Amino acid sequence: MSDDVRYPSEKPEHPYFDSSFSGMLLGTLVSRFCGGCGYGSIGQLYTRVFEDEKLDPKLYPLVIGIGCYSQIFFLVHKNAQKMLTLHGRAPAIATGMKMANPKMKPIIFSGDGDCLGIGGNHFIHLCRRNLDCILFIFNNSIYGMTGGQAAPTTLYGAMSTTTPYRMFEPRSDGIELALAAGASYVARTTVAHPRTLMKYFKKALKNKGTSIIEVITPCVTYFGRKNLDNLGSKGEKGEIMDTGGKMIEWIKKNSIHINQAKFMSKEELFNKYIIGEFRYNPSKSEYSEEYKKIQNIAMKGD
Amino acid sequence: MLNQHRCQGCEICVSVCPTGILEMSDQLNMRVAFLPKVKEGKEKYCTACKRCEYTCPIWAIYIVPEIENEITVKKEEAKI
Amino acid sequence: MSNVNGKRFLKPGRYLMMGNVAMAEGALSSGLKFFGGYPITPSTEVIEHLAKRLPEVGGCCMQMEDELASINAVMGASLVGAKAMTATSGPGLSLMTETISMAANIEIPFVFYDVQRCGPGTGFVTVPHHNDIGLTRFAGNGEFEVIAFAPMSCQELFDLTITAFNYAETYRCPIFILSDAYLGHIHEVVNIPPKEEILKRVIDRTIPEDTKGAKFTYEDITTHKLMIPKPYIVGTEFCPPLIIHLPHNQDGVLMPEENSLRFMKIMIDKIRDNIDKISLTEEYKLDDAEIIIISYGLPVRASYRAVDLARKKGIKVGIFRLITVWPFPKEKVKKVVAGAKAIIVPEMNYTGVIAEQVERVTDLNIPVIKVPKVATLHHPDDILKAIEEVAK
Repeated sequence: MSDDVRYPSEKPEHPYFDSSFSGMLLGTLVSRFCGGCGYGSIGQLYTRVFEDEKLDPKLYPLVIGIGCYSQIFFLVHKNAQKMLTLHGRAPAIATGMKMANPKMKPIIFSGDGDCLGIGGNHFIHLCRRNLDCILFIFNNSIYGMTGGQAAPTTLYGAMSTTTPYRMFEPRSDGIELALAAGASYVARTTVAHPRTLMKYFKKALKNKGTSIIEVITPCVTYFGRKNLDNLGSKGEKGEIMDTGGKMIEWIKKNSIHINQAKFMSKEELFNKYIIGEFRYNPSKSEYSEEYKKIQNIAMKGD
Repeated sequence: MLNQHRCQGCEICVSVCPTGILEMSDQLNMRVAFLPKVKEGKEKYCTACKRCEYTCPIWAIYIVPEIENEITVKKEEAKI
Repeated sequence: MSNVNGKRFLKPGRYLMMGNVAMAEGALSSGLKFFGGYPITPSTEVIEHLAKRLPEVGGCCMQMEDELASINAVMGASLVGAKAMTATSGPGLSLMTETISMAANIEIPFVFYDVQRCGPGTGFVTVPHHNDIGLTRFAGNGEFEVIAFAPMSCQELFDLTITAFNYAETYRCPIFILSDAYLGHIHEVVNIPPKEEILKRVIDRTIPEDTKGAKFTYEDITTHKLMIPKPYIVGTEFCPPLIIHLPHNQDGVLMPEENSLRFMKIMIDKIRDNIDKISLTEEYKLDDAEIIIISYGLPVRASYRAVDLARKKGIKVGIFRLITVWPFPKEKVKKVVAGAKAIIVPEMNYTGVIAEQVERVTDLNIPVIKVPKVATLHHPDDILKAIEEVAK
């Protein structure tokens, strides 16, 4: 960490620079993300929401899984209490935190391999219990931290280091899993729609129940540079997505809003992302409140 | 328009701008990355929607209110 | 928090209790607030008893979907300041080792109750076999030291659990209570003291007034001793800005890779330096003993009877009992066995884990004799036979 080169920053600075962790600690913005990665923008949106709504970061502990987004602790709010967990076990740790201190509301950052691969079981049971927390799934359809291996959510026909002959498995869909398991607020958006992401985040903060927000992010270094625009579906025409801008265009082209997707056929929706709010059910019973009722019965009875 | 040294040359701001006034230039910064610039004569088309500010992964481009109440896009500069 | 209602403590008196239930009551008296577990024979009685009792004191008992989730939930609860524990058996302990090694790195206290059963693999689920002794010593990847208790009666299950929670708050390393399938299920009389006596012993989780101090174990610059501060609580002011399980210094900042050896020294020496305060032992008729029995757990009960029978025959034999099995008290054992003719180590496993540790510290002239038994208890005659063979 001491070898990072720090470029001096110029006044006037970014408006949320002082609220970020690296701004407070180091004086300049140190970001270990690749150029074109979507997580830098997500850290900024997180800092913005906390500053604008004047929330107390002590009541919202940040539970971060293992993956490329583990480095996001530099870019989030300076007072947030961040902790790193094991690969895939973040929902279980958040369950323990919430039940031991019911006033808190954990915010979980998880990835597509972290949540739907090794942590699939914990994810299903978190949604089933409808615990009061927010879970972000950062879907870049690849395992970025370890160098570009295929993930359960990798698109059909994509190249990665463990699928040199193209990906042939059907991909898993975190939203359908969450809907089936019973989460109360389920939504998906992308990094190219930052205001929508902030709107969903603010709605999830007020929702008493599990909120699953899946964010489609670009990964330029491992997914973009190795794959063509159309993933080889219409012959081999298409261009390599080697900059962030090209990947953002690809994401925008491949995201279809749910109101439009209702009228489209299955072939047209293949390999595309459906964005929007899938379910909003704030009246569903929440786990810690149900447990409070049991505690009241136990404490009074004899 | 001031060029800056924190930019990584990823071109995200170019693609999300709704009025399409940004494009990549031939100028290189300290990190050997191409910098974005506003197209010639199109400064007044900026609507200050802040999409570039929200999506930049390195927090390099942002809106700053000028003294004359004219909203322009300003990027940060290193002193070297 | 301590007396939400009067139900945390049982009324003082004599109770006939099962071993598992005595342990659960001991944990409740210490202030347990969270239990996360998964049903596994032979420790299911713990979760069944606590599912009824924990809501009465305002705590939470959760049955999670698997062992991995239960130990992670226990760790999450311990992070926010609640005393937490879990109960499982051999196959569950094998699954939980990754989280135990993470908890040792970030120095979170929790207690782990292991009711051992026959292994390896699934094994016979209702018979005892002390096969996890080696696993608790090296419970996870990486280097760290643990503390393991070996009670031998239901009264000790109640008392040593309170001691275990105190050790967890003081030394901030994984604490194991090693029981087995028989000890967890026998019914014995347990004396519950009045609550004022228990409250005097219990160490509560509080935060110091100076919230800017060190949060992790560090080496004092002047005295060069390792100081262990109080555990931090997420959600309060006394919390490091980033909790990450890589080698770090006292404030949570990552160390450069060249200094990793210093971090390992902290992990290991914080227990080894305090071994005089941690290690609990018991001695019986050791003053003039020529043959020494070193043991722990259930075989000690048979050894008492065997020693009495042998002394009647004139053989000079005594018992040195280990109440804390790990860390192994090397120096104490060396002093005790100096000048002995032979050492007998009855253990309920074939390898003789503690027998090998004893062999390491004795000189080669003293023979160490193992008396292994698996899935059954030692009878005093088995130990008596070994004593008589040596005395010849």
